[in-house]
Amino acid sequence: MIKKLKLITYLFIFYISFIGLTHSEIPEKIEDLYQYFKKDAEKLNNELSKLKKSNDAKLQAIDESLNQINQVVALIDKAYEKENLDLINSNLNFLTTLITKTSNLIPSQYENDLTKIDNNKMKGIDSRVIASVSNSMKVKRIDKHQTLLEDMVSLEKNGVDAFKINNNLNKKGISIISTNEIAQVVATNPNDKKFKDDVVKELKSNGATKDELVQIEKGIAVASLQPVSQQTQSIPQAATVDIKTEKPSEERLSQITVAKTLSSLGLNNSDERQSTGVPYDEFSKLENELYSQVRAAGFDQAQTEQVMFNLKTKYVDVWFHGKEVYESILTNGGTIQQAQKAQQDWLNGQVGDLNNWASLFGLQSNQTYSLQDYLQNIDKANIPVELASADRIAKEAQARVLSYFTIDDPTGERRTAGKIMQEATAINNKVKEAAMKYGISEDRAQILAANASTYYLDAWYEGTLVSEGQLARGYTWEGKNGADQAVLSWWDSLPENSYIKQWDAKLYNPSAPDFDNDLDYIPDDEALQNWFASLTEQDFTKLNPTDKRIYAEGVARTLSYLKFDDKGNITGEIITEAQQVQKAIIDQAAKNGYDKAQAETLAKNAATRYLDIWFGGTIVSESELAKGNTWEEADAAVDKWAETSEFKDWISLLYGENERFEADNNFFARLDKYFKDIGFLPPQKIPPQNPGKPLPPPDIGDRPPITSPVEPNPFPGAPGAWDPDSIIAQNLDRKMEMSEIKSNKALSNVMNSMSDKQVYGLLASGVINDQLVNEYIKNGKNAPILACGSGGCEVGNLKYTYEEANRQMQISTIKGYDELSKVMNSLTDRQAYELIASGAIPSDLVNEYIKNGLNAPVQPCGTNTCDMIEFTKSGRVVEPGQLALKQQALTQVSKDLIGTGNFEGLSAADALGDGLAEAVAEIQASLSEGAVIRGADGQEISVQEALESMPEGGTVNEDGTLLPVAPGAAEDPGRCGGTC
Amino acid sequence: MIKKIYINFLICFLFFSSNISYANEKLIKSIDEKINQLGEYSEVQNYPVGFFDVVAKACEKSKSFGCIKSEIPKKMSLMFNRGELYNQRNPENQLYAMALFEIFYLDNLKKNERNLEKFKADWPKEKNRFGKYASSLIKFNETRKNMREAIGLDLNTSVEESINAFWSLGTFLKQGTIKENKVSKDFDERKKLIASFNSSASKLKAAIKNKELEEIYEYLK
Repeated sequence: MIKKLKLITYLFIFYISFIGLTHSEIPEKIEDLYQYFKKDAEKLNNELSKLKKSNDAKLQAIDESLNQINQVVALIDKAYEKENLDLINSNLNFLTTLITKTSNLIPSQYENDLTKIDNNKMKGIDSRVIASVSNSMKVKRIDKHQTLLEDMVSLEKNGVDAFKINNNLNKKGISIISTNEIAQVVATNPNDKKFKDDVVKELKSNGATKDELVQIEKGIAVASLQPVSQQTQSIPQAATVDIKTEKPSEERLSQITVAKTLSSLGLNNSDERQSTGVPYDEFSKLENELYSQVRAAGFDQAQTEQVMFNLKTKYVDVWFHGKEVYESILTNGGTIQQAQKAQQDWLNGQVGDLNNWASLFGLQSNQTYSLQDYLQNIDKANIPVELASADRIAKEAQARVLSYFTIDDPTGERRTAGKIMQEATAINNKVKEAAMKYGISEDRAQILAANASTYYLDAWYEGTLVSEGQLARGYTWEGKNGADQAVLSWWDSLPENSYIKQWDAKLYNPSAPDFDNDLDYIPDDEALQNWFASLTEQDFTKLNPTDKRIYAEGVARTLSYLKFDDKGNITGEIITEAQQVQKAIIDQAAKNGYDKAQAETLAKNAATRYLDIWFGGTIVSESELAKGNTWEEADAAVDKWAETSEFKDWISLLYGENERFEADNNFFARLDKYFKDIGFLPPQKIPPQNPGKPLPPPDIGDRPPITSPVEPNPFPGAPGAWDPDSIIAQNLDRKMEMSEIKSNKALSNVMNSMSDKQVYGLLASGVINDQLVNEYIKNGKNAPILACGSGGCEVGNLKYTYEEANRQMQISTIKGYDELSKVMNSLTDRQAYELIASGAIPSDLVNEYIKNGLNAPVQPCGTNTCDMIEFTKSGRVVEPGQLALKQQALTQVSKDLIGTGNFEGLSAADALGDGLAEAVAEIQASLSEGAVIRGADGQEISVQEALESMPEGGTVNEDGTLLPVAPGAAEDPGRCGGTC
Repeated sequence: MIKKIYINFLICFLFFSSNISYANEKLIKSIDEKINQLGEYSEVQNYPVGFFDVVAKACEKSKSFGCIKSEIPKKMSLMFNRGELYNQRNPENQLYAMALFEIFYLDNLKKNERNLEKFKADWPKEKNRFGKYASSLIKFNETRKNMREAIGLDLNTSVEESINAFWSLGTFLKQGTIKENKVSKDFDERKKLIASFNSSASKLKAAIKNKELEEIYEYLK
């Protein structure tokens, strides 16, 4: 009996154990569906092999994709045998994604083109809702991608080459998950190192490129990995206009270039006025060697001296023009390297005579012509004189002439002074005195005297150009090639009826000037008597000096305002003013949120034009003063010049009614109008809808994270100043627990830095996405501390930081959102900035608060022009993932500034951002597979399937199931004969 | 000796029964969560622009919930019942239908308010005769949840907001221009093949995903 009982007991235990061990974990329904699934997989395989092969790339891609299914189905079989539902689920997730992506290649019979929608039709649609839904879908999509990626890692571990399949199909145009999407997922999980490592490992072994791996390792989904269409849709920017960089005026460029070139030349300290300076110094270093070579070539002393003269002349020519090229690049805003390159290119690129000389002196990259070549080709008995460059001599001569002048400015009248002016004054006095003695009235005598003086200066200028030119060629005063002889030759060449000779006859005896007489400029009494005797009324009109002299003087006087530093850069007051112009424009543009790069180009152009206007205007005024006119006359001449100047518009913009540039409100008003006129507009301002999770990060190029510590900036919003951890640690009074929102850490960081009241106010305002709020308050376990200890009370007495601290952003209001306004006003600049940048506040509200950009949040670096992207924290590097998130959020602020309700000029797709097409696809996919409902038989089917089985006017059963379709009704669902 | 055998027997019994009661506890907790997610009835105050034109022209003046809810099942089933090609030509159709489902659910919630109260009063006693009403509402709510998730919303979103979101999106899609494509036979063949396989894969996937829900429904029967 006992034995029997024992046996029964053990049998019972065995039975129970057996039941426990053998009872399937898989419910019957799943078993049934699995059998259907297997049959359909077999059917798919069979049908697939029967399909006609096609040359169409899409069809080939589809077939290839479907062929991959076998591998996945095989693993499902194994997992089913092991009753591993999780693994089956992972497989099915991968499989259904693959199928969905494959079927996306098949065109629909009807396609909804949403790219161009009549704006009038959009008026009735709440665009904020659309944008919000679109954003929410993106968030959901990232979640789905994360699950898919986890499933793929799991499949790899179980023998399915999920990443390889993905990689192969990617190449065919079927992206189960793109590199960009993988990077997005990695970016949203910066702290999950294992996950990232798993993903990177699988990608590495399945053919990912180096660039892709770097991007994924960094957690940065770069725009370059996105399709072009996506990139162009996702980067709404400030209105772009074609802003070209303005070059300096030709006048300023050439005059300053010449002045800077000539600044390397000088004169010896004697009456000889021999040229000195850089080219002469350089030549003297070559001189001995050249001399020896010439002598060695059989040239005698005299011949050698002639050859050496030629060589010096040509060396200076080559140097001078090469130096002009160099200086013109610098004057044009180029760098020293660019200038050097241009100079060398110029030297290398010369042709003909100058090419040989450049080569001979070893100034070209490759020497093709040597001294020997030159020497072999000249006749020793008749060595030709190498003429100096006429252009160089003209420029040098003018500078030499003008060097006789000085500016005498004790009273601010900038009168021309110097020995020659004393001579002109002496002539004036002599003529006036003689005329008055002759019986001419003082007024009329003064006109004659002034005219005589003017003539003298003109004649002196022309004659001295000749003599100084000859000296610049390297000759002395004496000799047949001397400067004096050159002047005599010039004089002889003048026609008798020329201006100079006619006037000379009025003042002097008809003989050539006596250069040995120091007072030979004093008019001759006899000549004057003859002139006075022949005077007509016409002689009492004022004689205008030659334009050539006056312009040269005007330029020289203008250049005298400028100074050059050791590097040849122009310095002085005018440069400081130009920099002020530039800064004012950049500041104004940044204040209104204009595109930074374009604003900088505009500002640079304005500074260029400011200098041009100053240069041109100053030449005009200085020319008037050089004539001996007053400042009033000079100003009037400038006004007249301004009216017809090619820079008329710039003058109006920069000066307005002022005589000088003033960065006043009038200027900014003119500037705003100018921006508008040229079509330079700020970005459209509507920050993001509650995104929950940020969007894919933007292209940040190759800019690497800065690894060295940065100096903390004292400004509250400076780079490095925002260290959430430290701010949160200081938030000691707060009772509500610090929390985290995984998908939007920027938001949780800023919320953690807030006081209880601020957090309560923010949450009570209802503007933060419920999902994010629930995550932050841990579904109620970390409830916000009520402002007044009970529900329904107001935010309370939040102090305005603006009023009590250094907040630069102005207090503002959002109509209908008093609590949010209070909270926003109570935040510091940095908190307000971070909150807006987190993208958690709906765009229209942000826009209202920031007054369409007029009250823009103060950026981390404290100004409106600094870089928005914070790469570093004080002393440590921001984790790449966080950086990506930060950028996403920041990008959101500008990127989603798509006019709420303002669809003017935008396609619907533009208006809704880049997620529209995906959002639509998301809905379609969800309808067919996501939303599940139960049919009347209790079977779980998709909404579409379930409702397709309902007849028109079908009802819902008491238990929530739906009535099945009547036989045949599915074929004619609307019961309208297929016409509906 | 007999005593010893009975003790062994008892230990075995207790071991297996404790496992069963643990499973029930977990299920009860899940049901609690699902019941909490059902929400409360609150009449919709604002309907989207164009709602009455499409759905309940007769109710436009009164805007009464009573009128609207009576119109909904018929309209909703008709809209959901449309075929694939109709939906391609009328992209707003399914989204409008989802908006209507919100009202449909709300109406069901109201209808079952008392039954739900009675269920809660007896819960978690077994053999709760009001379990089927709770089960029905949970099913509807899960469907509602899935529909909302399809456009990134969740059960925390208010009914009015959800209706507005579905409707706005539908109206937006309606503004597009429908273009007809010629789809070759080759594509068509593959499409049918994929659709058939996708259907069975999706059903299997959904069944696995909703395994726990099935247990809930079974428990509440």
